[in-house]
Amino acid sequence: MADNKRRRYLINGLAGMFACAILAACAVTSPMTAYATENAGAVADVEVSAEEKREALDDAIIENPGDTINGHKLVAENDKLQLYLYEPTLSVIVRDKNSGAIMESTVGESDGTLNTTWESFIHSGLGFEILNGLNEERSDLTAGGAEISVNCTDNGFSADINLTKYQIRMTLNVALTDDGFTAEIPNSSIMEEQANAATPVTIGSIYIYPFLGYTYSAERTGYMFVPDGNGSLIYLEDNDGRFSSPQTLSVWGSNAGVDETYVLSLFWDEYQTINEGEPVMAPVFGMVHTDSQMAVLSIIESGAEDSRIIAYPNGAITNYNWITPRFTMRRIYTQLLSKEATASVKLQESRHSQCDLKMRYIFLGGDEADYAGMAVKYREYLLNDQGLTAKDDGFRIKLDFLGTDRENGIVGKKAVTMTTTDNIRDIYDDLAASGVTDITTVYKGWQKGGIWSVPITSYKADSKIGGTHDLTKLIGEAEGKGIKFYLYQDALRANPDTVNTTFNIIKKLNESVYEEDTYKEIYEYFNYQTPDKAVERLNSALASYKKEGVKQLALTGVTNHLFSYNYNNKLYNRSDTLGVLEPAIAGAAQDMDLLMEQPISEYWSLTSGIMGMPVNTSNYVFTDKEVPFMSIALKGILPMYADYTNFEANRSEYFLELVETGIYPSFYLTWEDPVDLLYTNSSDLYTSKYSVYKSEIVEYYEKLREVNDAVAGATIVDHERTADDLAVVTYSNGVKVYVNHSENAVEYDGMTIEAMSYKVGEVG
Amino acid sequence: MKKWKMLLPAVLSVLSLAITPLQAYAEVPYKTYTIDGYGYVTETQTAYTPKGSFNKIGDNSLVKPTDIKITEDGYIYIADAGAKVVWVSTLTGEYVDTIGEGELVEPYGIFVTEEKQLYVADRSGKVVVFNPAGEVIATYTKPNHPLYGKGDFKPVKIVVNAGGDMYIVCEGNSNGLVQLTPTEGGTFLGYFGTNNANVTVLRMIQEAVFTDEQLARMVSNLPSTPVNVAIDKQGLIYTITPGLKNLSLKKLNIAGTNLIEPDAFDGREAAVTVGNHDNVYVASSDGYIYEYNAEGDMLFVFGGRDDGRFRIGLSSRVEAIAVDANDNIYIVDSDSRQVQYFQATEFTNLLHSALNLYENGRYIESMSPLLQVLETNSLFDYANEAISRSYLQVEDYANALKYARVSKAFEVYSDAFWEVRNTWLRENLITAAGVVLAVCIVIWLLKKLQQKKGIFNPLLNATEGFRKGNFWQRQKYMTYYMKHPVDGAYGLRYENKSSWITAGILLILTTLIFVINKYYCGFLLRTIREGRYTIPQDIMTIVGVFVVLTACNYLMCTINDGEGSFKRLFCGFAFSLTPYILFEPLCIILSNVITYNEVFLIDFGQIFIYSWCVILLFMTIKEVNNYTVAETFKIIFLTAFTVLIVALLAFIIYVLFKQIIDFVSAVAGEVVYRYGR
Repeated sequence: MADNKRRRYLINGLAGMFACAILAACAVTSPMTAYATENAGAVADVEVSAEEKREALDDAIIENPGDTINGHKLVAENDKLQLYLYEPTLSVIVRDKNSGAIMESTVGESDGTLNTTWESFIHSGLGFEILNGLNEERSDLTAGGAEISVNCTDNGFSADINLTKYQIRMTLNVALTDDGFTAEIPNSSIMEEQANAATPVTIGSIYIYPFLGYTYSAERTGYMFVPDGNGSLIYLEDNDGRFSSPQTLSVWGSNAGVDETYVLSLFWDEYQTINEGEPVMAPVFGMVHTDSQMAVLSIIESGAEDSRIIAYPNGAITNYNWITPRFTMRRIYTQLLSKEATASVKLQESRHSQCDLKMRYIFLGGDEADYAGMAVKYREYLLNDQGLTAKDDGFRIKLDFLGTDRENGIVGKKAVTMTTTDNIRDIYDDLAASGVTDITTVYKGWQKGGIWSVPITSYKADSKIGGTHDLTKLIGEAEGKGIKFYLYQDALRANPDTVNTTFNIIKKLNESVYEEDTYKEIYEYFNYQTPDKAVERLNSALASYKKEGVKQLALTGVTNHLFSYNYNNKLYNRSDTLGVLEPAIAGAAQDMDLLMEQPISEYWSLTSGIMGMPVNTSNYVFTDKEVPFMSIALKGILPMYADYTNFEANRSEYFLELVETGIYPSFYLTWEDPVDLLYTNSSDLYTSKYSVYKSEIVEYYEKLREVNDAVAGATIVDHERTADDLAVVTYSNGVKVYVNHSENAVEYDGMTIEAMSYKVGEVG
Repeated sequence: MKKWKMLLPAVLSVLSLAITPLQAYAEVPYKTYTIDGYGYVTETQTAYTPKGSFNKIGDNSLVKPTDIKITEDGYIYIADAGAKVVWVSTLTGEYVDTIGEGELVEPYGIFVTEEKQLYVADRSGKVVVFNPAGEVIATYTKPNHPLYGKGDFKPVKIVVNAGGDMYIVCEGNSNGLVQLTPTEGGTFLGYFGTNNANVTVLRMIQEAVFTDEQLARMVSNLPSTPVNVAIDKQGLIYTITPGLKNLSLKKLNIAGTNLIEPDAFDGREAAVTVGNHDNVYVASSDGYIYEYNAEGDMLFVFGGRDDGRFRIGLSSRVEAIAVDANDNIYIVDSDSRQVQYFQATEFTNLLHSALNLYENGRYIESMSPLLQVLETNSLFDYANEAISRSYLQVEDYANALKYARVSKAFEVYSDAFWEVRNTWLRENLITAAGVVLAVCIVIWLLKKLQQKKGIFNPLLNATEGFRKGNFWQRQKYMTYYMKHPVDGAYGLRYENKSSWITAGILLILTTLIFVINKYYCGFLLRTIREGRYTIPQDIMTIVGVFVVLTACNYLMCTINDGEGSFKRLFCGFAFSLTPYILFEPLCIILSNVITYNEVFLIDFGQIFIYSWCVILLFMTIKEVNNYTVAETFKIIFLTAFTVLIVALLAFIIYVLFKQIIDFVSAVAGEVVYRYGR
């Protein structure tokens, strides 16, 4: 075993000189591919032979282990799994008793290319970034001089850790569960003795079992699952030095209170042309070894609000493939002392994140060890452990309307009204005549002052769309027709042009007021309300709705934003924000039917559906394959509505994606021609006229209704994509949906699926 | 060593498939924009989706890719200055051939002729020509010609026309493209497409006053060098030169004359290529990709800098761009050492089909795809303009007018409006004449009645107090002042013919008319973007300018023996605006019914009004202060100088206040911070 870890490198001498200084990666043997790694930052290009692959697989399956594996001792066991521990580094090995396959949590013997910091890091069960004054340094149990005392428990162990070098203590509790194990660092156990010293030494971030399920270069086959968009995979294959950085995803979206790490470059110094990536809605990731048929689904059960998921494909820093959670405890931030940023000081956050850090690992074996199996397990986890109950998931087409917006008039603002209540009535009647009846509607821009007049504090409709009375009447009529009619409310943003924003808006950690630029002309930016104020105003609106009998609300803003902020010279972190918002949203959900926009997984049990469900991924360079992980997990238990079809330039491909993922279509409609919106903040709505979209709505409705009726009430049990670009989705009622994404007809299961089309198989 | 080499082929054959696979369908990382009639960009449908990328040709990693060309039969040629070869591959990155191994030193630019001859611009100082078999058939080095000059010969990009003449971009050669003909081992024909030196006013002043030593120390003012070049089927040459604004993309005919002026430019242009629909693509080194039609109207811009986002479709440093027969765009990125390719969307294909028809003059056929484009994006400017022209062709003037207005196609609007107005006149001339006649008769009748029976007497009696009163008389004085400024000024000085209220009303009227003119004059003459209102600023401007000018003038007059008081000057200046108040409304009304054919009427009217006002202002200063003509001119110059001083003073005070506020807030911030610790 030791032998095959000594790697040979294809790296020429010149390239070695460039190799990143931190990494000291310089084993030179052959100039075969002469210019393989000229750009620095990456490590040596590793070639893995078939023999080495075979050996690696042999090492990963252990038939008769006895009490120790690679120095790890057996500490807990159940019907399915065995847990082994190596005390000095708290490294664990999990063995699937059925197949003998193992997954290691630390690197056994390294390839010798790394510097001491990294060399030590890859051998440790926990990793840290320590804030030493204003410096950030990578550390781990060994480098931190950890004194560890392990107490074995019934189903695992508890380890008290003292990082003597930094005088930091904590406890790690590991417990074997039926299908995996949990690892937890209780918040109360974290002690930072030098937190108040002149040069404070504290924990910046913690990695829990960063290398769990790691592989070396292309030695093994499989993939990492990353929760980008609907789901993406990174193959465990040789990347030839393509990547010099890992893929980093902020769980539950980015943090408005903290500056972005990349420089914002504007087109013509004016326009923000980049579509930000899809937010990570659920704190879940995974590693699958397809050769040994073992997979681990990792769920951040606690502490997700301040965590990131980082996937390191080989070539990024190391030659290993690994995926890890990183929990941010404290940041170093810049506090501005003057408005013009002429004076500033750097500081550590005064308080560390206040949540317990808990990981849950679920292991899968056999046929289940793939992304579909993981998604199914995740669904079970949501239903059994997270209190999610199956919601009405009958097929509906989502037709959203824009009521009214504002443009500049010769004096003050002028209403630009796109869709009135009467228009909506006409549209409903027109569609009913074509058989389109199962509709969900979100009415945007209904409120007094138009769509960007936020926050909404009471139920007052704009007179231009018909007024409050008529809107209430329309809601009643819609209910009678079986249409779900939601009023759209952004409960987070405050428009400085329509409401007083002197107080009760958040400042970033650096004390500058947070401004969300719109890059539009009428309202140039929005502020975010403090969570307390947002909740207060939301509650006031809710009381007002209740009085008028409005029971359905499409909620956004608070559903998908968590932030650290500074208010009255006090720092609040994302846990604090979540602590205020969650009870309020839970309270709202008791009286109202809430439909949420891209809600974080914490709110999934409170919503009756998800708006803006990503059909695909954010197109990162790391992505090797897109998989409908979230769809598999949620189809049949929570209705998902896609982004608007209007803005899709490749309609036929998009339609197939909707068939495959079971996500319901959405259209953003206006009665008037959106050309009138040219001078409003909605100027990016360039296509939405109902008369243009009517035929498409009817077509989508008929076709997708047929597919979804065949699988009504069922969940997805399996999903695969063949080499011919044919997706086969198997539902729990036995129905299979075949979607051919290729340009050629494909034969499968004895039937022909035409190019760029789909078929719903019989119950088999 | 030997052992693993034997194992390699198996592994590598797997690896060569590890080129980034086709993305099924993904969120596009960038927004796509098109341009509106004012030159501002608006968002539109995704025009091209990123489809994938490759960083290897077969087993060979790209080291420093610098140029790319795609042949019609689907082969990609990539110049690799790091690997010192030219790679040939299929459209998906599968290896076909390596050309120039051992021969090329720094291949920066390539061109492939229809006969598959490969021209390589080698920065080390030569142009090498390979036949389809990859053998060298010619090498051209620095032209030995007196006109070439002393500069280096560092070819970096090259195109070749049907006759075999080469147009070479040479690094650091500001004379333009080097034109070589293959006869006699490479004859220098001259420089082509030379840019003009950028001469600013400041530069001209500097050159006039600086000493030779100072001039020598300044950055030399040589014309910018084109950085990339492309050629189309007709042999027209396209060059790009960053920083030349709307001349950064040039389309040059055989004589070297530029045929287009693009309506959008980047500033960091790096690559250019010609598409399949008479369209042109330009890529900036930041990764923004522009598509223009044959006239240089921008259709799309998309893409952008990666900035550490790691998203497919964003770039770090673009070197070259190419388009294949299916409109897929290929971008060479030397920083990330890869080629990214983009696929045209259904929307773009629709637009291209309309483009083909329209550019070939098949207006009527182009209408159907254009209307489809407009259905999916009613703000797409190019389509709006094209369809307005098409409607003009089919004589549907009302529609032409509608679309021309949206796209701000002023010429089309003018033509369509002329026709619409003609029709209206034809249909309504009789009625209109009848109405005018009827009104005249009624007025005549009323006059008769007043003469005979005095039917308006009660009204006249009732308003007599007002009409004879001071207020109305003073207000009426404006018409007298306008015609007799000398007597008028006398009236101001000695007969108390005005008041603050009178002048104030005149000023308000002027402001009102100014604002109405700005926002409600005819579409063809409007100087502002529709939908943008800056009323407070407009009012501030008019009132501010008037008050400051009057005040400065008064200050100067008092120290130059002027006899006017501030009130008299103020009232006199207000009266001087009378021609504007009385006649500008006529111009505004007229501007709404004219086309470009009659625009001279408005121009003439404006000159008439403004000249009259200026004369009145001059006479006011002269007469109110009792100056001679020479003294008046002197005062006017002094006033201008005073205004300058006042502006400077205001600016200094503003800056000082800002500094103080910043200082105080910084101190406060620091106190709060120290206290908080």
